[in-house]
Amino acid sequence: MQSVSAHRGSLDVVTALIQKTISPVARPLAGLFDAMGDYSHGVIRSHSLAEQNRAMKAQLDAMSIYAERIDQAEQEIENLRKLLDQPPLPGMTRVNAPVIGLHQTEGLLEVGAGTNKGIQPNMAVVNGQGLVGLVQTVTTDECQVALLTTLNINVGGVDASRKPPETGLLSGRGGPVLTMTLFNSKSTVASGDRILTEGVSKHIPAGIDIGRVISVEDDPYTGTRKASVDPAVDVGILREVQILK
Amino acid sequence: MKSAVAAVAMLWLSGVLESSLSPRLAIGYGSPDFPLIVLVCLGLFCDRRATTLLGFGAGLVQGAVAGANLTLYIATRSVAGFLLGWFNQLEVQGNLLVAGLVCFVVSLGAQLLLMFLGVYHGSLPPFLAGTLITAVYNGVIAMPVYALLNKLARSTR
Repeated sequence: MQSVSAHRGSLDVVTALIQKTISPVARPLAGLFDAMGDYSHGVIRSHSLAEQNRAMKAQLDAMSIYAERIDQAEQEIENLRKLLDQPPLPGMTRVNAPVIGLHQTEGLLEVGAGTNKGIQPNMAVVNGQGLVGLVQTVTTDECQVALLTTLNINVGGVDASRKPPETGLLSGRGGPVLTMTLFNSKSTVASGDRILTEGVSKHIPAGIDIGRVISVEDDPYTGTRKASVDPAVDVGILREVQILK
Repeated sequence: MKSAVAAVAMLWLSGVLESSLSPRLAIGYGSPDFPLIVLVCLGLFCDRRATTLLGFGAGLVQGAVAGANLTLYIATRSVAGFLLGWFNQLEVQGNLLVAGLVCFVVSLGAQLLLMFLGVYHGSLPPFLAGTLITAVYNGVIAMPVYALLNKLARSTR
């Protein structure tokens, strides 16, 4: 009987019956014994398991740092790619320069290009994300760039999301955001609008990204509307910039 | 009748343990053979006919759990049961050590009989080593099981 069943690829009746009566209890019990085995194994080898755990945590930390660095490097590559893909500006030349230092409190950037490369004060400094700031002081081979957010830096801006475009003056306040004073008191500028350079200054061409509007409010003292603008450029990861001369 | 029910229950329990616990206690090729332990421990309280029947049951359970040839397991365990019944007729004073030793010998005999009947086709040394480990395991486990059964038997008398 057993051989016939085996030839058919099935269990014989007796074996199947015994297994059916045993397996409903044996299976959960096997799981329980496995759990008990794991527990006792854990208790006996607790010291080495703790060491392994520590080593794995350290590896995980190292990997997370590594992953963070990869993200930063990818972001840099992306920025450099954007820099290279910038369209030519009529009547202007782009001078590539490395960022040497950043003084965030003062709102200043040190850049490795000076008078030897034809750099002069008030020239616009850009990167792949948008307008970084304006050249303030220049030495032979270096220059200091005032970031857009620096106090008393003013740039003409235009809201590209509105038709007709709305214009205003963007000013740094020393904080993380810019204030855009809108010339039209009934302006329809709204959160999320993209602000570009207006191109009135001979040093700053039109159409360079400045940032996005995050809030708009009326100024009761001056009767104007003011918009807070989040700068497009992430200053913390700047490695290379272009100076427009 | 009560004894028969108890024997069936113990054989069922041995099948459960054989299926769930035995593989987890394996050392090399050897692991405890719970149906055989039940056969010896219960068999020490029975006559020759009952031990042979117990052997039949133990072989049935062992063969079914292993999914192996039932005939060979039933035959070897029935012979082991019969010999155990014959040993009982010698009226040796039963105690823990005797139970352990008998279980050790019966395990060795039953497994060697299986080998001669051609169940095992692989290399001989691992099988013999496994048989020895199984016999030792069974002998050790048989002692507390026998003690428990002995206590139960006394309390029911």
